Amino acid sequence: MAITHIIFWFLTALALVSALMVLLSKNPVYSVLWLVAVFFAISGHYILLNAQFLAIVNMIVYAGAIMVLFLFVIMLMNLDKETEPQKDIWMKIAGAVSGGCLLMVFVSLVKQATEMTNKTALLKTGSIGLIENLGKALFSDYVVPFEISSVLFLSAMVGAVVIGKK
Amino acid sequence: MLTRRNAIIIFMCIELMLNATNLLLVAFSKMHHAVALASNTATQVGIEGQLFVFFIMVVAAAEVSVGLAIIVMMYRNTHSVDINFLNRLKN
Repeated sequence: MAITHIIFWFLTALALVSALMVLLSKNPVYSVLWLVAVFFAISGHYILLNAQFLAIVNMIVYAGAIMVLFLFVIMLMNLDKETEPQKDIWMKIAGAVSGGCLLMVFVSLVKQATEMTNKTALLKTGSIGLIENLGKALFSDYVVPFEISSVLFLSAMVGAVVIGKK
Repeated sequence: MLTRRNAIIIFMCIELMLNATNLLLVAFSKMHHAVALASNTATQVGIEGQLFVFFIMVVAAAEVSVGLAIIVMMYRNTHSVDINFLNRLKN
Protein backbone atom coordinates (compact mmCIF):
# COMPACT_ATOMS: atom_id res chain seq x y z
CA MET A 1 0.00 0.00 0.00
CA ALA A 2 1.62 3.18 -1.17
CA ILE A 3 1.85 6.26 1.00
CA THR A 4 -0.55 8.04 -1.38
CA HIS A 5 -3.25 5.50 -0.66
CA ILE A 6 -2.76 5.77 3.06
CA ILE A 7 -3.04 9.57 2.90
CA PHE A 8 -6.09 9.29 0.65
CA TRP A 9 -7.98 6.96 2.98
CA PHE A 10 -6.98 8.99 6.02
CA LEU A 11 -8.24 12.21 4.42
CA THR A 12 -11.43 10.53 3.26
CA ALA A 13 -12.19 9.20 6.72
CA LEU A 14 -11.38 12.58 8.25
CA ALA A 15 -13.67 14.38 5.82
CA LEU A 16 -16.57 11.98 6.34
CA VAL A 17 -16.32 11.91 10.13
CA SER A 18 -15.97 15.68 10.32
CA ALA A 19 -18.92 16.19 7.98
CA LEU A 20 -21.04 13.95 10.18
CA MET A 21 -19.92 15.82 13.26
CA VAL A 22 -20.94 19.11 11.64
CA LEU A 23 -24.46 17.77 11.55
CA LEU A 24 -24.49 16.05 14.90
CA SER A 25 -22.88 18.72 17.08
CA LYS A 26 -25.28 20.47 19.39
CA ASN A 27 -23.22 23.62 19.72
CA PRO A 28 -22.91 25.67 16.49
CA VAL A 29 -19.35 26.69 17.37
CA TYR A 30 -18.27 23.05 17.36
CA SER A 31 -20.02 22.65 14.01
CA VAL A 32 -17.94 25.47 12.60
CA LEU A 33 -14.72 23.93 13.91
CA TRP A 34 -15.62 20.54 12.40
CA LEU A 35 -16.39 22.30 9.15
CA VAL A 36 -12.88 23.76 9.19
CA ALA A 37 -11.60 20.20 9.56
CA VAL A 38 -13.67 19.17 6.52
CA PHE A 39 -12.21 22.00 4.48
CA PHE A 40 -8.66 21.08 5.45
CA ALA A 41 -9.32 17.46 4.49
CA ILE A 42 -10.68 18.56 1.13
CA SER A 43 -7.64 20.80 0.64
CA GLY A 44 -5.52 17.75 1.30
CA HIS A 45 -7.43 15.90 -1.41
CA TYR A 46 -6.74 18.77 -3.80
CA ILE A 47 -3.03 18.59 -3.03
CA LEU A 48 -3.18 14.84 -3.60
CA LEU A 49 -4.75 15.48 -7.00
CA ASN A 50 -2.02 18.06 -7.68
CA ALA A 51 -4.54 20.90 -7.86
CA GLN A 52 -2.29 23.22 -5.90
CA PHE A 53 -4.01 26.48 -6.75
CA LEU A 54 -7.40 25.20 -5.63
CA ALA A 55 -5.92 23.75 -2.46
CA ILE A 56 -4.49 27.11 -1.46
CA VAL A 57 -7.61 29.03 -2.49
CA ASN A 58 -9.82 26.56 -0.61
CA MET A 59 -7.73 26.99 2.51
CA ILE A 60 -7.64 30.80 2.32
CA VAL A 61 -11.21 31.44 1.20
CA TYR A 62 -13.11 28.73 3.06
CA ALA A 63 -11.09 27.85 6.14
CA GLY A 64 -9.79 31.39 6.47
CA ALA A 65 -12.45 33.86 5.45
CA ILE A 66 -15.84 32.12 5.38
CA MET A 67 -15.39 30.21 8.61
CA VAL A 68 -14.23 33.34 10.44
CA LEU A 69 -17.38 35.04 9.15
CA PHE A 70 -19.48 32.17 10.51
CA LEU A 71 -17.73 32.33 13.88
CA PHE A 72 -18.25 36.08 14.09
CA VAL A 73 -21.95 35.72 13.38
CA ILE A 74 -22.41 32.89 15.89
CA MET A 75 -20.59 34.80 18.59
CA LEU A 76 -22.54 37.94 17.74
CA MET A 77 -25.79 36.07 18.31
CA ASN A 78 -24.86 34.76 21.74
CA LEU A 79 -26.56 31.41 21.25
CA ASP A 80 -25.63 30.03 24.63
CA LYS A 81 -29.05 28.79 25.63
CA GLU A 82 -28.91 25.42 23.86
CA THR A 83 -32.66 25.47 23.53
CA GLU A 84 -32.81 24.43 19.93
CA PRO A 85 -36.02 22.42 19.77
CA GLN A 86 -35.49 19.10 18.06
CA LYS A 87 -37.95 17.89 15.53
CA ASP A 88 -39.89 14.75 16.22
CA ILE A 89 -38.56 11.31 15.45
CA TRP A 90 -40.71 10.77 12.35
CA MET A 91 -39.23 13.83 10.72
CA LYS A 92 -35.74 12.47 11.33
CA ILE A 93 -36.69 9.08 9.92
CA ALA A 94 -38.17 10.76 6.84
CA GLY A 95 -34.95 12.74 6.42
CA ALA A 96 -32.80 9.65 6.74
CA VAL A 97 -34.94 7.71 4.24
CA SER A 98 -34.94 10.46 1.63
CA GLY A 99 -31.21 11.04 2.06
CA GLY A 100 -30.57 7.32 1.75
CA CYS A 101 -32.63 7.18 -1.45
CA LEU A 102 -30.57 10.03 -2.92
CA LEU A 103 -27.35 8.27 -1.93
CA MET A 104 -28.59 5.05 -3.55
CA VAL A 105 -29.35 6.90 -6.79
CA PHE A 106 -25.87 8.44 -6.81
CA VAL A 107 -24.14 5.14 -6.10
CA SER A 108 -26.06 3.27 -8.79
CA LEU A 109 -25.37 6.09 -11.23
CA VAL A 110 -21.64 5.91 -10.58
CA LYS A 111 -21.69 2.13 -10.85
CA GLN A 112 -23.52 2.18 -14.18
CA ALA A 113 -21.50 4.95 -15.80
CA THR A 114 -19.57 3.26 -18.58
CA GLU A 115 -17.59 6.47 -19.12
CA MET A 116 -15.75 5.88 -15.92
CA THR A 117 -14.95 2.18 -16.02
CA ASN A 118 -11.26 1.39 -15.73
CA LYS A 119 -10.34 5.02 -15.38
CA THR A 120 -8.73 6.63 -12.41
CA ALA A 121 -8.01 10.22 -11.51
CA LEU A 122 -4.42 11.24 -11.99
CA LEU A 123 -2.74 11.47 -8.62
CA LYS A 124 0.39 13.47 -7.82
CA THR A 125 1.19 14.28 -11.47
CA GLY A 126 -0.40 16.40 -14.18
CA SER A 127 0.20 20.10 -14.61
CA ILE A 128 -3.30 21.48 -15.14
CA GLY A 129 -3.75 22.35 -11.48
CA LEU A 130 -0.67 24.54 -11.26
CA ILE A 131 -1.05 28.27 -10.79
CA GLU A 132 0.77 29.05 -14.02
CA ASN A 133 -1.55 27.05 -16.27
CA LEU A 134 -4.73 27.99 -14.44
CA GLY A 135 -3.76 31.66 -14.49
CA LYS A 136 -3.09 31.58 -18.21
CA ALA A 137 -6.47 30.02 -18.89
CA LEU A 138 -8.23 32.34 -16.44
CA PHE A 139 -6.84 35.52 -17.93
CA SER A 140 -7.14 34.50 -21.58
CA ASP A 141 -10.19 32.32 -22.20
CA TYR A 142 -12.14 33.09 -19.05
CA VAL A 143 -11.43 36.76 -18.56
CA VAL A 144 -15.06 37.85 -19.08
CA PRO A 145 -16.49 35.51 -16.40
CA PHE A 146 -13.68 36.63 -14.13
CA GLU A 147 -14.67 40.28 -14.51
CA ILE A 148 -18.35 39.42 -14.08
CA SER A 149 -17.51 37.65 -10.84
CA SER A 150 -15.84 40.82 -9.61
CA VAL A 151 -19.09 42.68 -10.29
CA LEU A 152 -20.92 39.92 -8.41
CA PHE A 153 -18.64 40.46 -5.44
CA LEU A 154 -19.26 44.17 -5.52
CA SER A 155 -23.02 43.66 -5.56
CA ALA A 156 -22.76 41.08 -2.75
CA MET A 157 -20.76 43.54 -0.68
CA VAL A 158 -23.27 46.32 -1.25
CA GLY A 159 -26.14 43.93 -0.53
CA ALA A 160 -24.62 42.72 2.72
CA VAL A 161 -24.05 46.27 3.90
CA VAL A 162 -27.57 47.35 2.95
CA ILE A 163 -29.16 44.33 4.66
CA GLY A 164 -26.98 44.75 7.72
CA LYS A 165 -27.74 48.44 8.12
CA LYS A 166 -31.48 48.03 8.58
CA MET B 1 -32.96 20.76 6.73
CA LEU B 2 -35.44 18.15 7.85
CA THR B 3 -33.79 17.39 11.13
CA ARG B 4 -32.17 20.66 12.10
CA ARG B 5 -33.87 23.98 12.53
CA ASN B 6 -30.90 26.19 13.24
CA ALA B 7 -30.47 28.43 10.21
CA ILE B 8 -26.70 28.64 10.64
CA ILE B 9 -26.29 24.86 10.64
CA ILE B 10 -28.39 24.62 7.50
CA PHE B 11 -26.23 27.27 5.91
CA MET B 12 -23.09 25.35 6.81
CA CYS B 13 -24.56 22.26 5.20
CA ILE B 14 -25.02 24.21 1.99
CA GLU B 15 -21.30 25.01 2.12
CA LEU B 16 -20.62 21.33 2.68
CA MET B 17 -22.61 20.39 -0.42
CA LEU B 18 -20.80 22.99 -2.52
CA ASN B 19 -17.49 21.57 -1.37
CA ALA B 20 -18.57 18.04 -2.23
CA THR B 21 -19.36 19.25 -5.74
CA ASN B 22 -16.00 20.98 -5.96
CA LEU B 23 -14.13 17.85 -4.97
CA LEU B 24 -16.06 15.79 -7.50
CA LEU B 25 -15.35 18.32 -10.26
CA VAL B 26 -11.63 18.33 -9.55
CA ALA B 27 -11.51 14.54 -9.45
CA PHE B 28 -13.36 14.26 -12.77
CA SER B 29 -11.16 16.91 -14.34
CA LYS B 30 -8.09 14.94 -13.35
CA MET B 31 -9.67 11.74 -14.66
CA HIS B 32 -10.43 13.41 -17.97
CA HIS B 33 -6.91 14.78 -18.05
CA ALA B 34 -5.39 11.36 -17.46
CA VAL B 35 -7.17 9.98 -20.53
CA ALA B 36 -6.09 12.87 -22.73
CA LEU B 37 -2.55 12.73 -21.42
CA ALA B 38 -2.07 9.23 -22.77
CA SER B 39 -2.18 10.45 -26.36
CA ASN B 40 -0.76 13.97 -26.01
CA THR B 41 1.75 14.91 -23.36
CA ALA B 42 1.24 18.68 -23.62
CA THR B 43 -2.53 18.67 -23.42
CA GLN B 44 -4.47 21.07 -21.21
CA VAL B 45 -7.71 19.10 -21.30
CA GLY B 46 -9.56 19.19 -18.02
CA ILE B 47 -8.50 22.66 -16.96
CA GLU B 48 -12.09 23.89 -17.39
CA GLY B 49 -13.20 21.77 -14.45
CA GLN B 50 -10.74 23.41 -12.11
CA LEU B 51 -11.66 26.88 -13.33
CA PHE B 52 -15.30 26.02 -12.76
CA VAL B 53 -14.43 25.06 -9.19
CA PHE B 54 -12.78 28.44 -8.81
CA PHE B 55 -15.93 30.20 -9.95
CA ILE B 56 -18.06 28.08 -7.62
CA MET B 57 -15.85 29.26 -4.78
CA VAL B 58 -16.37 32.86 -5.87
CA VAL B 59 -20.14 32.46 -5.92
CA ALA B 60 -20.09 30.64 -2.57
CA ALA B 61 -18.15 33.47 -0.95
CA ALA B 62 -20.62 36.07 -2.24
CA GLU B 63 -23.53 33.86 -1.14
CA VAL B 64 -22.14 33.47 2.37
CA SER B 65 -21.73 37.20 2.88
CA VAL B 66 -25.30 37.97 1.82
CA GLY B 67 -26.77 34.93 3.58
CA LEU B 68 -25.12 35.68 6.90
CA ALA B 69 -26.34 39.26 6.64
CA ILE B 70 -29.87 37.92 6.16
CA ILE B 71 -29.50 35.59 9.15
CA VAL B 72 -28.25 38.45 11.32
CA MET B 73 -31.22 40.56 10.24
CA MET B 74 -33.59 37.69 11.01
CA TYR B 75 -32.00 37.24 14.44
CA ARG B 76 -32.40 40.93 15.14
CA ASN B 77 -36.10 40.80 14.30
CA THR B 78 -37.06 37.53 15.96
CA HIS B 79 -34.23 36.91 18.50
CA SER B 80 -33.95 33.38 17.21
CA VAL B 81 -32.34 31.52 14.34
CA ASP B 82 -35.10 28.94 14.19
CA ILE B 83 -36.17 28.58 10.56
CA ASN B 84 -39.76 27.81 11.57
CA PHE B 85 -40.16 31.48 12.38
CA LEU B 86 -39.75 32.11 8.68
CA ASN B 87 -42.65 29.96 7.52
CA ARG B 88 -45.04 32.77 8.23
CA LEU B 89 -43.60 35.95 6.88
CA LYS B 90 -45.40 38.38 9.12
CA ASN B 91 -44.39 42.01 9.31
